[in-house]
Parts: sequence; C-alpha cells; structure tokens
Amino acid sequence: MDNNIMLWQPESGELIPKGAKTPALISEYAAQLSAKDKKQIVAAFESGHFEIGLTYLWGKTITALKKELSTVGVGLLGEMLGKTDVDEDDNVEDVLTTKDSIRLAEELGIVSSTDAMRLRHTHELVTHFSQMDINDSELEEIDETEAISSLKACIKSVLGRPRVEVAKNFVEFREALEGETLTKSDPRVDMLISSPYFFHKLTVSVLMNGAKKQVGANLEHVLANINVLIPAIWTNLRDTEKWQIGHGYAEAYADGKTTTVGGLKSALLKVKGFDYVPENLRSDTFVKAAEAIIFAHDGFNNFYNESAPVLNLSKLGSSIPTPALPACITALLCVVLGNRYGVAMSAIGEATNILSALSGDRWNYYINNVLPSDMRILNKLYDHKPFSNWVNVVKKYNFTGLQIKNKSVSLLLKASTNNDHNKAISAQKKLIDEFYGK
Amino acid sequence: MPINITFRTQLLGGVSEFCQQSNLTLISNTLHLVELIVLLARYKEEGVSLCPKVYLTNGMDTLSSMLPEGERIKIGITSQDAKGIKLAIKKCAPLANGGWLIYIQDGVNNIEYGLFKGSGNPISVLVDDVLMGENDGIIVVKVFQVAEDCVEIKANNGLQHYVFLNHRKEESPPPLQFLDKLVSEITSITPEQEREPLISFLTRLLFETLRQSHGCIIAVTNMNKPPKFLSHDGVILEHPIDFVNLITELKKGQISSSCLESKGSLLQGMLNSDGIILFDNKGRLLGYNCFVKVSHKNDINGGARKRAFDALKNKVGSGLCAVFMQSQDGWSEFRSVENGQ
Repeated sequence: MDNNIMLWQPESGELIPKGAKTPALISEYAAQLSAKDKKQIVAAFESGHFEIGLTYLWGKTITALKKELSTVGVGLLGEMLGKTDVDEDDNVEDVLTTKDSIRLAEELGIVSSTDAMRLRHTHELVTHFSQMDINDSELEEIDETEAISSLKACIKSVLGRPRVEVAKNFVEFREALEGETLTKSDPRVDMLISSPYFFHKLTVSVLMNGAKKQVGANLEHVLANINVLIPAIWTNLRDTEKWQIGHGYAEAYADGKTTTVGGLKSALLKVKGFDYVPENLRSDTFVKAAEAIIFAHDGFNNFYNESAPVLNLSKLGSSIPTPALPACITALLCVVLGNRYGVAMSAIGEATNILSALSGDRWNYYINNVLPSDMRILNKLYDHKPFSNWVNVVKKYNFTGLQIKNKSVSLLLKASTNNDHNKAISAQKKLIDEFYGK
Repeated sequence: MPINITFRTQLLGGVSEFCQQSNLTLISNTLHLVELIVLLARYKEEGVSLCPKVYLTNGMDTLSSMLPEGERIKIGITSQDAKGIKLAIKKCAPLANGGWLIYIQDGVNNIEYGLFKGSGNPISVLVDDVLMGENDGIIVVKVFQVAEDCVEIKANNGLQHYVFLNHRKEESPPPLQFLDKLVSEITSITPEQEREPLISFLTRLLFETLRQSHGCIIAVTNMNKPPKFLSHDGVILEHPIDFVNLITELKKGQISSSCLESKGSLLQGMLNSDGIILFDNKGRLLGYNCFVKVSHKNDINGGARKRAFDALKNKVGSGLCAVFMQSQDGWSEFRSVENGQ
C-alpha cells in the first residue's frame, strides 16, 4: 500500500472512443458481455425496441456490478450499509439493492461520481418505464438519445471493464487492517486522522466487520488496530459510528466472543465510550425493519411495496432505541421524500405518524449527528419533488429552530426553509464533499 | 490466664499486601476484607448454606455498562465499615442466585450495595472475563466461597489468593482449579468460531452444577466412538448432544436459547446421577451413568469414586484424553494426555 491516504480512486479514462456512436459500435467495448448478449442488445436498439434492449442491458450491468462489489467481501458491504446480519455466505444479490450497489461502487471508487450519476439515471429510467400502467406505456416510450446515453453509461462504467479488477487498493487497505498491526507512529495512522470522514466511517466498518468475522491471528491484528485507530479518530467520529462500535461490543458479548470483547473493551475504556454500548440488542429489530423499508423503497414497485414494512416498523412501538434511530429516520425520510416520480401514498401516512412522534431531542440528534453523513437523504435533494417534500419536513418539524453544529447543515436548512433549491444544492454538495473529501 | 489462638492474626498478615496493592479504599483497612472472608467461608441464612459472589469496586456504573443486557438493582447505602459490609451481605446473599451477583461500591464516606447480573443469554461472555481484566482505573475485587472453608479473593490487577480456613496444607490445589482444563479438553477440536461461546456455556453450567454436586467423574474421549470399557456398562446416547451444533443454530436464530438451556439441564441431571459422564473432544455429550471395572489390586485409599478415577487415569492416552473428578467436598483432580497431571 502506498502512503497516499486517498487509498482508492475511480478508474477514469475514455473507454469508448468519441467516434463510437451507434449501438453496434458502442457495444463492441462491452468486455463483460458475450457475443450473443451484444447481438441481442444491438438488435433491440436497431429495431427501436429501446425499452426491451435497455432492460436487458440493465440486468446485465447490475449483475456485473454486484459481482464486482462482492470481491471486496459481502460481509464488509453489509457493514458499510449498516446491516448487522450479513455474512460472507450471503448472496450479494440478496444483500444489495440496485441503489445500494451504485452508491457503494461510487464510495469504493469503482465508478466516478459522474458515472454513478449516469447509472442512477439509467436505473430510474428503467424503473419508471417498467412501472407504467398499460395505458401510459402505450403513449410514452424511451427515446433513442436516452437509450444510447444509458448504453454508453453502462458499458463505460461497468460492462466495458475486464472482470474483478476493481478496488485493488481498497482490498489492500482492508488486508492491512486485518493482516498487520499498526503502531501509533505509523504514518498511515496520521494520514487516517487527517483524512475525510468517509475514510473514518469505512475504517470503523472494516474493523468492526473484522472483529465479528475473523479468528486467530487476523482477529488479534484487528483488535490491536482497533486499540490504535479508534482512540486516534474517536473525537472526530459521529454518533452513528460510535454506536456501531458499541453495538459491536454488545453483539460480541452476547455471542460469547471472549477475545473480541476483551479487545473492544480495552478500546472503549480508552475513549470512555461505554455510553455507546446499547443496554440490549432490541435495536437490531428496529434496524432490520428500517432495512426492509429501504429495500422496498429502492426496489421495483416501491410505491406499492413500501407500506407493509413501514407498518411493521410502526408496530414495533413508538420508542425507537437510540442506536437504531439513524437507520429508522433515514428509512422513514426516504418514504416521506419519495423519489423524482412521487411518493408512496399508501406508506406516507404511517411514516409521517412515526416521524411526528419523534421529540425535538431526537430530531436534534439526527440533524447534527446523522444528516451530515446521510448520503442517501442528501442525494435525494438533487431532485425537485423530493426536495419539495424535504422543505415541508424542515418546516413541519422546525429544523431551523434546532441548535445546528455544522455550518453546511445550517445553510442547507436555511435554504430549504426559503425553498431555494439552488442554494440548498450548493450546501448539500458541500456536505457530500466534506464527507468524501473530494 | 489462657491465651487464645486464632486464624485471625495469620489471616490479617496474609491479606494485607493484597489489600494494599488492590488500591480499593474500602479494604485499605485489612480488617474489612478479613471480616468478609470469614463471613463468606461458611455463610448461612435460616440454616441454608449460601455462597454468593461478592464484587467490591469503585466504578459500578462503568462495570454495568460493560454487561449489555445485564441488570442492576440497588438495595441500599450503608456505612463504610465492617458493620456495613455485614449488612450488605445479609440483605443481598439470599437473593444472589440464578446468576445474580452482589456488588459493593466504594463511595466517599459510605458504600452502596445491591445485585447485578450479566446477560441471560447462555453463551454470552462470562461476567468474570469482562470484569476481572484490566479496566483502566476501575478496581474490582471478587470475594467468593469456592468450597466450604475456602474463599477465593481476586483483584482485576491479577492478584489472587485462596484462603483456607481449615487445616489444608499451603500447597493444596484450590477446589475446581481443573474446571478450565476440563472445558478446554472438551472443546479442543471444535470450530474456532464456536469455541469461545461453548467454553463460556460449559464453564457457566459446570461451575454452577459442580458447586452443588455430591461429586462426579467426567471423562473425555478423543475417539470417534465411546470406548468399550465405558460403553459396555452405561447409557450411551443414540444421538449425542452436540453442543457445537446447538450453539451454531442458536447464533443463527434457528433455535431459542431455552433449547440450549434445556440440554444444559439434562447435563445437570446427569451430573447428579451415579457413574461417569462421557464427553468427546468435539463438544459432544456421549453418555452418562457409565461404570468402569475397578482393579482391587491397587492400594488406594478412598471410596468408589476415587477407585474409578484411578482406573480411568490409566486409560488416559488409550481411549481417553482427559478425566476429571470432583469429590463431595468440592475438591477436584484431573489427568490429561497433555499435562499428565
């Protein structure tokens, strides 16, 4: 591993020459597609069946992307998403939604942020047309320009690359955390301290995942690194990550992992972090319920599928345990903000009821400790409809009346209260840049 | 005028260094610890013998937060002296069973006392594994009657003594000292991911049961089948109780903790039966109520159990990898291939 803290960067470069403009020429560069697949896609495009061609292409793209992501370890992907019950034996298809896959690919540097944006757009395009009712789909269709730009996006960012070449530097970083013991004087520790928050969050995920899954010498390395790195970055960590560490301790304790408990206890004592150890693992049930909402929200037919998981969360009771608060508020806000096509009318009422029951303290906690790194919600604010719903949320729960610690969050809330989308986007971009350090 | 001879002077001298090095204000007066040791050595309430585990500390809040899913019940506050300690034990000892432990928190001018417990999950980490290690300035001293007339005092800075209030020799091994070795043999070739929870489960279960047992012999085989010298006269289960599988299923949520606990109850019942209990080193309980032929040629002092243990000792290395015996008074013996003890 070299000494550059920006451990993984997206591969950029012109995979598809500018001269390649027809489906046949563009698909030539899809290294991960078989000749038969290319032929079928080109045939669909050339005969004007863009919806069929694009849906087929999108299926291939997402499968390839998930396969590439799985090379960094399914367990780790689960940890990065805050899913507590994922292990290496799980199928990546079951763990990741399409939106999660694009976000993780962006975070891990597998695709650039521009390519990620194009992939998101393609996903929304495919989802939109596949969800149309019969009457609408007779009238509307994907036009050629949209289809070709999506074809380019899929091939350039995913299908044009040879398999399993991704995230090499990231895998090295992960291996270092699990395969060697870093000392306080190691330059990588200093660099981590001064790196953007995303790296802190990721390091916590890697270490906690390692503490959960590793055994023997690798576990010893992970625990030693936890005792060096967690105290070094603790003061910068937000509550979500502090709770993640506390939850890891509680889980290891309940699972009888004596060695892991010893290592985590030592680190938590160094930072006086036992306030972040949950009294019980009741929060797991809430986190799982929140994950089910996100899964429905990101999947096909989300407007129909969101209501059942929201109702399930509601049945768990109004008192959401603090460790589960970030996951639950994010999931409920996803429902309330909706996407560029609208909101799930069947789910929004119950979601609003749960959010309305939250006290000012809990909103204060979310806005100050969670929102600055809640990429899922921040990314929603790009689009007009979710932003407009966000404005209503900000006003309804009087976010501007809260004591805001982060300047960019404060600007975002102010712009939202004034319904100024441009200024809000500018503040949102700042928050994203702060998080990723771009 | 006759001169009284007591253990008291000897005991005061014996634990004074321990008290000093533990740095806990409450026992800076050595007499406080001595009173507690003597009190617990043969503690009885309403004629019933009780052996509560007592934890003296200066940081009960942090200790409680180290035990997720645990509980803590404050009983009262009293004076920081021997009288206060006696009151705390009197109020709490009858309640300290079923996993409940007594805490006495050292205050500025008083002590707070009450009960606490770790998680009810049968595979959770043992309370002592969490509390009795280095705790960054938090002092913990555990005082506990291990067997009648024998009290263990242990501090989390590593200091540990067994205090005998009888005529045992200084070099006597403490009771139940071989429990860890026995559990280690039973779990020696289990999968690494399940080994620690299995060790916690078996240690907790065997410790509680052996404390109350009239004595027992536990043999561990490293063979694929139960050795004939035990299986020919004993109950060999058609389907061994596989604790590793049970723990794996519990962790995956496929069974409830009560399912594992109920298998533990069977083991407790077996420990209270006559004969030898047979485990293998893969964490499986193979049988119970087994008997071994005893040679009458050997000149052995002792009863049937001692004779059976002696016969089994000779089988270590040929059919067995370890054998453990606990006598009626709580003292134990052990022999394994590894240490030949």
